[in-house]
Amino acid sequence: MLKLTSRADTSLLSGPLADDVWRVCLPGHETDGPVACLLQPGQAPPPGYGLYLTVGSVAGIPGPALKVGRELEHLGAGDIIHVPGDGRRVTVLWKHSARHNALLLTEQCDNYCLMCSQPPKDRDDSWLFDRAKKVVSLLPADARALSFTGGEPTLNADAFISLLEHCERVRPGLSVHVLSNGRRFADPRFTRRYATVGLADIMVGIPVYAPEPGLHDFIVQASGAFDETVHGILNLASLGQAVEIRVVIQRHTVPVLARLAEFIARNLPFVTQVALMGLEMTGLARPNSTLVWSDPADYQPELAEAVDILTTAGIATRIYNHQLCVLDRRLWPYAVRSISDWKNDYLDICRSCAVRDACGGVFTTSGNRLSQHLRPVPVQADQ
Amino acid sequence: MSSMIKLERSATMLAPHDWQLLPMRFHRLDPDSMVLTNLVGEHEFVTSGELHDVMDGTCRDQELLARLRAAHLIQVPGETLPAELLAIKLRTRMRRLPDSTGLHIFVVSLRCEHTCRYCQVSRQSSAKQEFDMTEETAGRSLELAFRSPSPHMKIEFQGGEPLLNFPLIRWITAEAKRMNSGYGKDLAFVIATNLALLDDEILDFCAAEDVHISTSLDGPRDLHNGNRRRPGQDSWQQAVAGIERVQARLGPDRVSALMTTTEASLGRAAEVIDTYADLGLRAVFLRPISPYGFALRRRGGANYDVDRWLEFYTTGLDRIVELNRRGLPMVEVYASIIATKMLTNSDPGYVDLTSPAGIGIGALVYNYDGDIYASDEGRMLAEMGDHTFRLGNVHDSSYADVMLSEALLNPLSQSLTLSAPMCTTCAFEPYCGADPVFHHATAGDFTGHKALSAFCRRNMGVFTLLLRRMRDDPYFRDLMRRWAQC
Amino acid sequence: MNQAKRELTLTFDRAAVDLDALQRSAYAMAADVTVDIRVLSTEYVCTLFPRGHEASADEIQHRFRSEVNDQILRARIAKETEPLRNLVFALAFSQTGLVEAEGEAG
Repeated sequence: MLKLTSRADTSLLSGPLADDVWRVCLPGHETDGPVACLLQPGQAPPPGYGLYLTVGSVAGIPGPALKVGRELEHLGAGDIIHVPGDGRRVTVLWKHSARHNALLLTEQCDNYCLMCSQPPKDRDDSWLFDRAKKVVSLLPADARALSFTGGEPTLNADAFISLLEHCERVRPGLSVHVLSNGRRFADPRFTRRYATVGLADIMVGIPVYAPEPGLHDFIVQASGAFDETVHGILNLASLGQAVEIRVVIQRHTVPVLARLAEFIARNLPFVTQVALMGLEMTGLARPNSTLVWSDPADYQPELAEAVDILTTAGIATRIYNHQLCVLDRRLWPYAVRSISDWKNDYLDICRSCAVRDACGGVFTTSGNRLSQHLRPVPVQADQ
Repeated sequence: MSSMIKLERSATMLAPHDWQLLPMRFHRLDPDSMVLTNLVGEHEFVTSGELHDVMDGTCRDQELLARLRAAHLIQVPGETLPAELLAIKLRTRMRRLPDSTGLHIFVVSLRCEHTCRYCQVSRQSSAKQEFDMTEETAGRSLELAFRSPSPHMKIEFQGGEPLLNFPLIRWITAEAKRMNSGYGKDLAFVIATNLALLDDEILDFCAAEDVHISTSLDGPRDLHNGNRRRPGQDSWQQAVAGIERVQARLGPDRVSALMTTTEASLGRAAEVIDTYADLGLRAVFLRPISPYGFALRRRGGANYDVDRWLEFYTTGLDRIVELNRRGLPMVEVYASIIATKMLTNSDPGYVDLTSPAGIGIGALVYNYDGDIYASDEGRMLAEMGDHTFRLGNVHDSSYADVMLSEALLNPLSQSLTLSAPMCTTCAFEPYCGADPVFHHATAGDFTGHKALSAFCRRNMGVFTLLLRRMRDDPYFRDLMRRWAQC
Repeated sequence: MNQAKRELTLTFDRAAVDLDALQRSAYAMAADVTVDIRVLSTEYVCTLFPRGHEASADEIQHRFRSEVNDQILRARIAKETEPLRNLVFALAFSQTGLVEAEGEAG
């Protein structure tokens, strides 16, 4: 688990910083553009950088310098940070060493899912798109993949398309994953704008929670959502765009999981993959916990049946956010270590688990709302 | 903290009269159990009472209503998505129609040393060379075959016993591959043989040219030999030895066997299945007998009841399911074809279960003398003097002459299940097909009268059997899901 | 045993049953009975001639009435769903607006 933000000591700042998004580098490397030099305590600071960062003393640094808290000791070359003009806080937006990186594009959303981990806020945060463009411009040369999340990224259609076009211009080889409820893609013109951007490797991850509108609309708390979402998926498919269907497994989706799998196999067989996801007990999932919580150990038969239906039909299937000890063994091949580095952790009991390294652990954000059945998997002689 | 709900569950449920029916058909499986099917064959089980409540708009069972909505049997008025999805699925099911013709049967010789009870080809002694196809006829047949739009071409060598004219099989295979360089089709070759004449030269050829073998295996030795007479009375031994030899030399997936049911088979279904299992054959096609050729002529030879065949089929299927439960993954081919039609939008391409029928557009038969037939059964009828399904001759007919002939278009147009009496309202129409040759032979017209048709009775029997099993047995339902992908 | 020809007569109220339903039922049961239908002012009179002798008179009448009820149900469903059926076919065979992803579907 990593902390991504820290207050900064600005006592040696003499004025506002020149930029708000910086790429971190080590001394002696690159000085052009918004590059922040990371100094180890006691290291001699080379001149010429627009910003210096250290966990140690900032005395004697030949330029704007910030002392960051110990929680950001993990900062490394290639990381991308956000610092407001007054320098009071440093936030890591992109972690070079992380398996997954996601950029928040907005907190606005036209759904209101019962288990939403990023509850919607209705305020103008369009500056997040500008920030995202800067991050993309500063990505290290070996950056491979990036997710765009929200809220609902497509609500601000022009900003969203503009961001994708920016990616295509400065990082055409990037593997882009957009998380969206898919509703705006019901507009064929918007879908065509999206497809025309021409990014070679882009996929939209769209949640579908039930095989019919009644339950899906209830779960996402929006009438008409299922209709728009599935129309969106069809429009994307008609233009050859990659679509992933995401299903969060919670108390309401467990009983319909197999039927949903059948619906996908029969009506949407062209999707690139289906991701069956464990619940992150944060955001709206907390006040709604009695509505949404279902212990993974209790729904293995339904999950196994859904996986069986999808894989028999030839659809690529992945299981995300599940601990191996509560997952039916037949399903282990489909499990992916998917919890982002900065919010995953292991329990003390996991120390003796034979498959700890293959397991994604738990969400730190879930607090103590975890399965009652977590336990170390014993080492087996035949493993 | 209290839960945060803006939209209550009750607001997304269906109140009475909130829904309307989508196009659907029904069938009564049992006194109170019905199956509903939509336009593309998706099905749901309901009781009569439930159906009436749904039709009257008074149903309060939300789980049932949700099931029916998901299966595109009902919708909320004003929705467009269900109709759009049904249309896409319908199109997908029909997408292979323009890709005629996938199967080309070459009757390379009419000679045969067996005299099978149910043979539909006139027996000829092994000596008569005039019943062999010539290279010239074969070449012209290939030219016509390559005119088909289908990106796949399966060439099946039949007879008589095709291995009696092995040199021509070699020639046709080489010639087809040569001609294909201009077309880029996906070619496949099969020899349908009784295996008595299998030798190393033939095996080497099959290995080198990627040729598959299809053979007859009716069941245990006495059953098989009783059906299939051969000098020396060792047809079964030859078949088994041949199968094992092909498996050893080419691999287990390069040989398949078909069984033909006769009067003698009835009551012995489990033994038939076990014979296949013992030989490592993983697929059994439990077929009925067709009423042509010798089968019709022989008194009491093969005119048994459809219902007795259905008993035989049921026993055989149950045996196969039992073997699966014990860990042996055998497939019943007829059930798997139907499973594909029930559970997917794919077309298994089985010529006897398509609408329109597979005559001409699914398969074409080139007889040893160059005559072209719309199906294998059409050729067999001709051997009995009825040339209704002869479409022309390779020596003087063009592709257009053949495919646009009255002889083909007339029965084809009458074979559309969507417009045949009783078929139009049948719940199983999406799973079924038409057999104009069968109906012509038994009823005198291409459509027949479905209430009197053994084809209909047999298929209805199989559909209802499979559906009942799927309704009552989750293991069988899972098996059908797997078989649907075969 | 007396092998006298059996004849069973059923009447149907014209206000409740369409002639079409009766004709379809007769067609569907052709293997077991042939049916003669007479049209009177307020009712249809159906005379059933069973082909075999296994089924009892009661059974045949039950089956015929059941079949008629099912045909009426079918006619009702067909009538209610005809506009949507036409729509689905029109969409299926139109050139535009639908997914062209058959390649991916295999």
